[in-house]
Amino acid sequence: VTGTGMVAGGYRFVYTGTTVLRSGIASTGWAQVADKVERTVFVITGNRLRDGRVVYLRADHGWHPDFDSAEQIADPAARDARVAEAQRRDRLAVTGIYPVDVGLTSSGERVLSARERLRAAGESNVRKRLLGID
Amino acid sequence: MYRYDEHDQRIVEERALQFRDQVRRRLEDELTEEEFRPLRLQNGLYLQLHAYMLRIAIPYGLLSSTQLRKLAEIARRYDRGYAHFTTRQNVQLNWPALVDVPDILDELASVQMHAIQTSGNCIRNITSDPLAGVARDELEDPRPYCEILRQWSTFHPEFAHLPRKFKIAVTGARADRAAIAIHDIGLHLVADERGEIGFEYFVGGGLGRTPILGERIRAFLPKRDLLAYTEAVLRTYNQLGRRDNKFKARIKILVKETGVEAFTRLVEEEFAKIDRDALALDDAEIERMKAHFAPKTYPALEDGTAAIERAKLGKDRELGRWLATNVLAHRVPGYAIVQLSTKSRDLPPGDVMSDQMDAVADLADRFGFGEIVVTHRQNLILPDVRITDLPAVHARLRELGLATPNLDRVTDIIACPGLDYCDLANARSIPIAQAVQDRFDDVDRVHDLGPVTLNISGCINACGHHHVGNIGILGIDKQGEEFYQVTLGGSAREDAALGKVLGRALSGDEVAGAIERVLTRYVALRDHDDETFLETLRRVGPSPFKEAMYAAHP
Repeated sequence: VTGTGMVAGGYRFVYTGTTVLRSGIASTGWAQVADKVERTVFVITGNRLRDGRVVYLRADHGWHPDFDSAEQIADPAARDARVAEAQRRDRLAVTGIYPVDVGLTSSGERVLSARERLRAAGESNVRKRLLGID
Repeated sequence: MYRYDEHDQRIVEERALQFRDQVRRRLEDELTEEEFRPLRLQNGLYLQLHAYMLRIAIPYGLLSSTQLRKLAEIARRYDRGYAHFTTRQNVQLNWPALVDVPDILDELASVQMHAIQTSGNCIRNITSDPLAGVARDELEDPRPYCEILRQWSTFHPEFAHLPRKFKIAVTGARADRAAIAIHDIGLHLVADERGEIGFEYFVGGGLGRTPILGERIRAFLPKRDLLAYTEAVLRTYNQLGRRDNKFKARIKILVKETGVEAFTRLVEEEFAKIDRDALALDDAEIERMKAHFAPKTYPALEDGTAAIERAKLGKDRELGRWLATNVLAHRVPGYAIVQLSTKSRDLPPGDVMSDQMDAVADLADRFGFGEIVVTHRQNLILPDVRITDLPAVHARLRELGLATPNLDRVTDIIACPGLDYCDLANARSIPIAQAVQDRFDDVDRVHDLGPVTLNISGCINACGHHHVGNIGILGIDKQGEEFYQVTLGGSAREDAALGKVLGRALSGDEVAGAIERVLTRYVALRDHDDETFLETLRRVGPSPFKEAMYAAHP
């Protein structure tokens, strides 16, 4: 199903990876309807202290701008522990650390809120195109 | 324009130095993020969605060509080669690195600029009429009073921790181009029955979650009492404003909950206690400040109004249209006010590239007195262009992409940065602005629609002033997704009004079509060609527009 508007119970819009995200946002700005979310996992994110760029926590405790490289955490208790640990350990590297909900559909698509889709995409493609930035 | 004295210069240089040390202490683990956050915010540095954002103050929107060139240089060197002009007549950099901000503040200080009090619960940048000093309908130039208030409020120890932020606007003209009705304090220079000039004093306006138009609490305040009375207002607010609830902390809520008469009484009681002589603005001080804004020496020229009128109807249709929409009458014969539109299909509203800034600074030097004004509608103004130079200025602005003939037309869109940038936003503003631009790509049609303001905010905080757009668009969040509520009937002018929500929210790709249907209905309903959208709406009411907006897609 594709669509642009109303959100019906349990159905959200989908982030399907960098390529689809970019083309989706550049063409219309309004993403596709996903299959029903079956379960939720979490990734940890924050902004790099020195320059503010969005980064995601990997399983090796490193931080990387690529959403796809983020560790997916299933257990809420592990999520909270990971956030607390990162806030302590990485306080001079990353600020504003928090967990993001990632819905998973039966087909394996990952579902993010509009806000988190845009954070993951970086500078919006509307602006990139207007400014001629690739 | 006002030039810093040694005291001003020392303040901004010391502030930059202090922030350099604060950044060092944060990076070296001497300050926690919780300790550092209020320090960076006091210097206008936010952490947004993708990066830091630095908000730089432009007092009452006035820039020298030297300052604009410096902004271009900073944007090019430390950011991504563009800057965003805001509805507070300020400018924002969207990608500065924390480690570079101390250097940026040094650069700003070198041209008498800063980012002080562009954030936090303090008195923010004083805004004004962008046509101040050159408007034909001006009673008196408001900028000396803006500058007096700026100096009084900068680092005022009593008002550094107000219940919430506090915004003041001042206008000296008959028409309100400073949107004084939506400010915490709105000041209007007026003459009393004896011809003495003072201030009509409004308090309690604001947008956001609870939009309210300001109430008049003094019909006439003598100039000498400007600071004492404003101090009384701020003291009353500081003592009684709610600090328990952020959403009820603005002065508008205090005025509303107290009642305007009771609030006025409280202010007058406080005013009676204040040592007015200590805060009195005497004539010498006013004259001293006025000297900074003294009318320039305009070489005498022939009145060129007839030439403009001829050119409007001339063979060069593009020039004619630009003259009709983007050029305004100047108070001095032979001169004109040129408005530069930042609203085109090429860039988001309010964004100006570094190269454009440099070129505009050159134009200000070559075709004026080296001054540029930022408007609260996110455009720029060259205030003093000779009428005979207008074709040359138009040609250059056209090359620069700043000559779109759309001032006060539907594509002259106000838009906040929205969810493309802002950490508070619920929805994007820029793609909506772009979709409307695309939808109304026909210049003739835009002109036929006449004056209509379209304002977009990405959230209820209303930085895009959606409540006071003739058409307002508000981004909202529904289960994590972007939707848009449309309001009709707002105005930020002397007939200030708050728009009313038409109905259910629309998805992003429905908005431009809905706006088109509303305006098509307006054309069908208008009484005559000169009846504006707002006039028609006020005459016939919202029903036909609501019906048009929610009509099935053609």
